[in-house]
Amino acid sequence: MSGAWQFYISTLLIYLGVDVMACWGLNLQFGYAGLVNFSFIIFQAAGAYTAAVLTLGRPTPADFQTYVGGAHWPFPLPFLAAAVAGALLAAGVGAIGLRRLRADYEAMVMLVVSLIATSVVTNATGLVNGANGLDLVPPPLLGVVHLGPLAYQWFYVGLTAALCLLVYLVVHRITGSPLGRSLRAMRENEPAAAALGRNVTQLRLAAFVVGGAIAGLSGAVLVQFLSAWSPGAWLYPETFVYFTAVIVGGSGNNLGAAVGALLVPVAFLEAVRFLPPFGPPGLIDAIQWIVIGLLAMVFLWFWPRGIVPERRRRFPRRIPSRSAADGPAR
Amino acid sequence: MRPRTRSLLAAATLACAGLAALDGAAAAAHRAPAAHPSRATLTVGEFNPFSGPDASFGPEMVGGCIPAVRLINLDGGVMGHPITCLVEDTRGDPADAVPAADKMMATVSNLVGVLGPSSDEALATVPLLNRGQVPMFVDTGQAAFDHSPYPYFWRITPADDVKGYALALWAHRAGYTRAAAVFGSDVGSQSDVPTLVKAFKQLGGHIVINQRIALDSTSYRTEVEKLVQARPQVIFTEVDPQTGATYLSELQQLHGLIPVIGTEVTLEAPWLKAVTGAIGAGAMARDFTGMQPYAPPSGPAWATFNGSLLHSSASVPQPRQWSQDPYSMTYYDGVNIMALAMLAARSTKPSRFNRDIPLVTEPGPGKVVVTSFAMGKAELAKGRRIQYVGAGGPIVFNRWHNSTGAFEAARLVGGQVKIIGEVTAAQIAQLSGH
Repeated sequence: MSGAWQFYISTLLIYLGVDVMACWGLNLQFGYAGLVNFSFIIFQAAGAYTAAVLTLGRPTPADFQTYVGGAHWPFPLPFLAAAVAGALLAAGVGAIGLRRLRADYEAMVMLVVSLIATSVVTNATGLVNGANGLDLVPPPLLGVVHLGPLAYQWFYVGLTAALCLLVYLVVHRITGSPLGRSLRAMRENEPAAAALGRNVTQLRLAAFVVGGAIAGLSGAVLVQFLSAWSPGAWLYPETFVYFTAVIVGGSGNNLGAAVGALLVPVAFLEAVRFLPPFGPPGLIDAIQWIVIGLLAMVFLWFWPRGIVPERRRRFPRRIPSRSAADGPAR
Repeated sequence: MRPRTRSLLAAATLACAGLAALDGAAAAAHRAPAAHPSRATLTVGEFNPFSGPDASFGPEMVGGCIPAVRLINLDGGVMGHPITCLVEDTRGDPADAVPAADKMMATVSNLVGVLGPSSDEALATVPLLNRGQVPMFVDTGQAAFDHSPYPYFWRITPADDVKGYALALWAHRAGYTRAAAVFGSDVGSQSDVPTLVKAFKQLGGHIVINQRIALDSTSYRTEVEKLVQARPQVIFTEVDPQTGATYLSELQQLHGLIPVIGTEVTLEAPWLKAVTGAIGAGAMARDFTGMQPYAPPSGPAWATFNGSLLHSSASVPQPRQWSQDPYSMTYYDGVNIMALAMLAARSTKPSRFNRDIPLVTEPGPGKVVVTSFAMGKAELAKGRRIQYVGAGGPIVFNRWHNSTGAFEAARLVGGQVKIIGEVTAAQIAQLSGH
């Protein structure tokens, strides 16, 4: 296999890892807790900006980009900080947006939050360099591992895979625990869960914050690979790609979310690049967004549980034990 | 149909689609020969946004690439190889552009060069293209590349900081001392602003208001009122056509138009059409001036370019709109320069001909000036050394592979763009201290 093909395939694998992580974060919020977070992409962006700023160093007056803060933190601190940034932002947004709002209203507020975030970051140029975004973000551990470009890229694939595994263990642990059962109960019937003594506000916020932290981590992995990040990379439609992935793969199922990440943001969006150009410029891109929307609608209509449906959990019926004193069965 | 069967069917369909795409890509790669065999078609990538906020960049590139490859192929190609242009949409952001660059280098047969990337994705993708040994004629104006360390990087369009100096110099010459900066919030527009502000201040002027405009709003009444309160004598601008039309028509209604000096974006046909429709031809003729890289629509190189462009209507929609577009001219020149460098190096391998690129553009004693690929090919065949002077004018690369020249000021008179003056390269150099 040629070097160019290896670069391409390894790039896709890194994107797959990032998307799988993001889909697991969204699945925790949407699939398990039933939160319609249309601002999901801003948590990934927050993580990306945090990791970038914490590796770029302090801006100098001669620098072509301006941003707040700046440090040269060693790996893995920028990744951890990105997860914390995603969590803190989620806590802030969730504390306001989740307390009283539900369903449609919650979705509307989240969508507006996403639009506001893009507008603020684009126009407050001193924050993270506005529309131009941040560039020349140094890759992690490059000076430590001493690898050539191709070998380093495969190393980064391994690093992404390791972080994916870590995220999987976290979400698997949560969804398989009593907390996961409470989240599902809340999703299915919130008043009933509250009546059984569950603090639903706390549960919703917990799912929102953990999902935000995972999104932040995925953003850090992406920005350290790309070495650049700008508002164009996290416009609100990107959230709908992740939603479609979770719906297609199977919400409420971590394997389903991973399958959705493979099929929608990676396979489908990448397959579009291979279409021969036709029609006016931008037509293929527009069709792609239409197909993403149709895909979500078709699956919600015909296969609402997705390709890998959520496992129906059945509890064994308690059968009273019979003792010898009861006598023989008749 | 049972749910499980439906799920399996859906999975199979999607998996087949994905596999088909990958199979197609793999097949393309399998077909791609390691060396360029006789008559294999050479490909020039058009690596720019064709969608997203800067979707207007891509068609401009098509307006330069297609006329160039048409003429090269009419002249028998490059060493017998036909050449073609291939669109690779970067979508205007690094996250989409990086896999696009990797995909292009992996799957495109005989990729000999690239036009682009633009400012939207250059910092993330120039290192990748350089690593892949793909010569690139970029259209990014980012000052970060003023001292580019990349050997496969070539820039024959002006850097954004140069553009800022040109706008400031023209306003200063017209006697303006109080100016407003009204630029779109997109990357391309915003990259002009820092040096514009700096240069205008250097010349004794004052930017009284600096507005970063969210594109394509239905109204800019608030921004216009703030602008009027700041009392500027002139407005510097680069916004997309719809935004420009809305903003300036509201300014006209609320206060009356203030003289406008725009970048080369405002001299593109869609911008002129939209804004003229909104404020009227009379106001445009009186109050609007656009600055663009000096590429006068005259001379033999431009005539060759324009002739081929107008014959390319099958592949270039409304080709006439690019006739005076300096960027289309420089893309055209970029393709010709690469093709001539291949002939000079007697190789279509980028790692071989890349170093010969300056050899076909630099002036020098005994060199024959050529203004088209056909002329250059004929002279090289005679064993002569050539200097290609393109549709965009002479090209002299500095040690960082940058070549920028003068700017011209233009107005819209009677529906036609008329050149009314020039800001020379020497004036820009004096102001910038470079």
